[in-house]
Amino acid sequence: MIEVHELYKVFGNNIAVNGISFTVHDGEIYGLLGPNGSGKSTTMKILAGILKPTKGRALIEGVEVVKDPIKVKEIVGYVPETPTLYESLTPSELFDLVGKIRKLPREELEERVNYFVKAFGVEEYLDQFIGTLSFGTQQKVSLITALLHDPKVLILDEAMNGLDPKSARILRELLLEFKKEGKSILFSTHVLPLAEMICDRIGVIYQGKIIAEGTIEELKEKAHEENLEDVFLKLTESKDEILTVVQALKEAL
Amino acid sequence: MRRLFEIVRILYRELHYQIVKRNPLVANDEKRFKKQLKNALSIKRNLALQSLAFIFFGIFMASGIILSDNKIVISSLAVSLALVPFIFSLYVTAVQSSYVVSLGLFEPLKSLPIRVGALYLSELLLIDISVSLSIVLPSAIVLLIKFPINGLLFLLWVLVGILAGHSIGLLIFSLFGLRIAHRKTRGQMLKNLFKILGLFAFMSMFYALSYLQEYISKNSEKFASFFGKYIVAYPFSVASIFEPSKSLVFLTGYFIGISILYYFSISKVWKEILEPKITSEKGKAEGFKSSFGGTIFALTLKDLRVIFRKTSMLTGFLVPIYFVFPQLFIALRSGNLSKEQVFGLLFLIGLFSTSGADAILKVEGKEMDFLRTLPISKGQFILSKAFSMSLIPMILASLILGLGTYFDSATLYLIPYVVLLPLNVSLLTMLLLFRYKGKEIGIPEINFGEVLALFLVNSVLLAFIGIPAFIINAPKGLAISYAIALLSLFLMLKKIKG
Repeated sequence: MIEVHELYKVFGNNIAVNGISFTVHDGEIYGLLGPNGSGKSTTMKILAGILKPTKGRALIEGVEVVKDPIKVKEIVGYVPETPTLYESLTPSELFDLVGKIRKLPREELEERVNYFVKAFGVEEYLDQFIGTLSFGTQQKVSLITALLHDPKVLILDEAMNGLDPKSARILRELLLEFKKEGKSILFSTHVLPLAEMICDRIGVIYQGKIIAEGTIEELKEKAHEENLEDVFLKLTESKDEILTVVQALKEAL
Repeated sequence: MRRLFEIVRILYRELHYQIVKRNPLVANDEKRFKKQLKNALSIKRNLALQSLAFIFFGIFMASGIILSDNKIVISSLAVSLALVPFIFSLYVTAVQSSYVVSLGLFEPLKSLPIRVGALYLSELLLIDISVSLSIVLPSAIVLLIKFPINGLLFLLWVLVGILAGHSIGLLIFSLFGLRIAHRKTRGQMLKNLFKILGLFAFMSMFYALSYLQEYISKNSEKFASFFGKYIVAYPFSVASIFEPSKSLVFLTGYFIGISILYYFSISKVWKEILEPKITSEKGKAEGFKSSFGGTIFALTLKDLRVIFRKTSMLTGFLVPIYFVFPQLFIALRSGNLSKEQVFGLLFLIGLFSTSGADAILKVEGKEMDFLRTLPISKGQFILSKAFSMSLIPMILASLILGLGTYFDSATLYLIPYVVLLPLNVSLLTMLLLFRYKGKEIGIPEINFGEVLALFLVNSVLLAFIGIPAFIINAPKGLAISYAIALLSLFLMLKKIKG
């Protein structure tokens, strides 16, 4: 379970996260949606134990992220929006490194790597240096490193970025399977139909605050809109702005 | 020209922003972070502060020239002094360029219509390199006052030395630092070995030059009279400053040669940054097989893999060779390598292990963000870095011990030093660099003033270890020395675990 209470993160004069609270239960996929710069990635980094919050509490399976970030990292599988992997290592070497750091028994590590590598079609790239792989393949490698230790909690920051349709579908199915196993999954994406398809609940974050939260149906009802995209645009006050910009563009052209 | 400075200023700010961002000493302290950032982004302030750290060292080194009027003594001092900025320049260029490119600083420039973007890299590095001038500046000023023309020649030699180190560093980087192998193959190890040998050849080319000159002088009377008593290889050539006309000829020759090398290297670097050469080899992926070992071993192995694959980073670890080689040559020329000489060389290697700290921390560029997602404790990280840092000096030390044992089998008794000295120095260096509170891992910022301070602290540690062996007869003296080294290792390991 992920519990977030009145979380703040301030960078200089910029309040990136402004007192947000939410909970992701066991066996739940929670979608964190928001425009660029709304504070999604910062929140996720705090929950993954990478960034310290300025104020507030966050607990992962009952462990305080500020007090014991290493324990949190043992529990969590985190995929950042852009993979920053060692370019001069091969995926094989990277998986081995991660397996050793996560203290996975050799047989288990080999079994899990071979399973995910096959699932995401990375087999032929195992001995190729990461720096020579495409962005999509690097993203798959990054995903596999986050899944190796069978994490109880998954934090995926736009993890579908760069994935081909087949791999995206596989990841989607995997997430639904993980949900059945009782894992807590925090998921951010700009692909709203995808969020609509897999998320049990959604939190819309805007200017560092959660401005709406609920199931898809609850949000649609609240915003009086038919689909999630319209709900999102309305809540983030973008709908009228889009119309104005499009009109201005048309006139200019 | 204005555009050049403007872009270099932006690159400098970005580089130092990235360094400060990953520095755990300040990253989680809002006030310190802002203050540090403000300081780090100012070129003038940085230059002034680092130069200040060096200038004291420079004044100390100038004292010899102040106190002496003997031209032979001054010439020898000038030779030693001229070596420092040259090595500094070579080291900073080879290691820092690899780091700068791995941080992705040049990615935004790739799409712009720039002919030789590596000029920006060169200028960026020269900002850091210029600091080394403050080591020789006090001596140069004294010389300029005492012997104006000779002083001016000395200064020109130093500048040429800096340019030489920088050009060779760029060439090493373009030859070894930017080529990307497509696939890991069985022949990779052999290739890496050849790359290292190539690097050795580059670094020892100045020694090779002196031998070439010796050979030419012996075989040609005409050349022998021209070279006279001077060795043409830099930095020995600096000794010619008291024969201005000869010195000027050498200097002009060097300047022309190095300018050509600089132009060639800079074009090659940019070409390879734009389109890194991918050496593709046929091979079939083998299935994943996990290896043995724990977290620290895995982290150390990762460091070594990165260093050996980005060979230009190896330069940072080969600095001890520059200081050990002359002494080794002198010793071997006499046809013997005594136990006492090996003892001295092992301590020298131990001390110069310090210079690997900067390079080993630079293995992590933006990849640090990945490492921070994993459950690695600060203690594990410190230990792995200390092991990675000490491995190459250990190999070097064992080679020298082997050579010494060939001449005198009693030298074998010094074998514990091969491991104990580099490890002690590496652990103390890492403990001091990672002195921040908190458990998270990061990359502490390391400036050249700090490197000097580390050298000083490590000298004290090595003195404690070495003095008993020096003043008490063997085997008792050696046994006490080993016991002190083991005790200090034990205490440091305890501190890391605590």
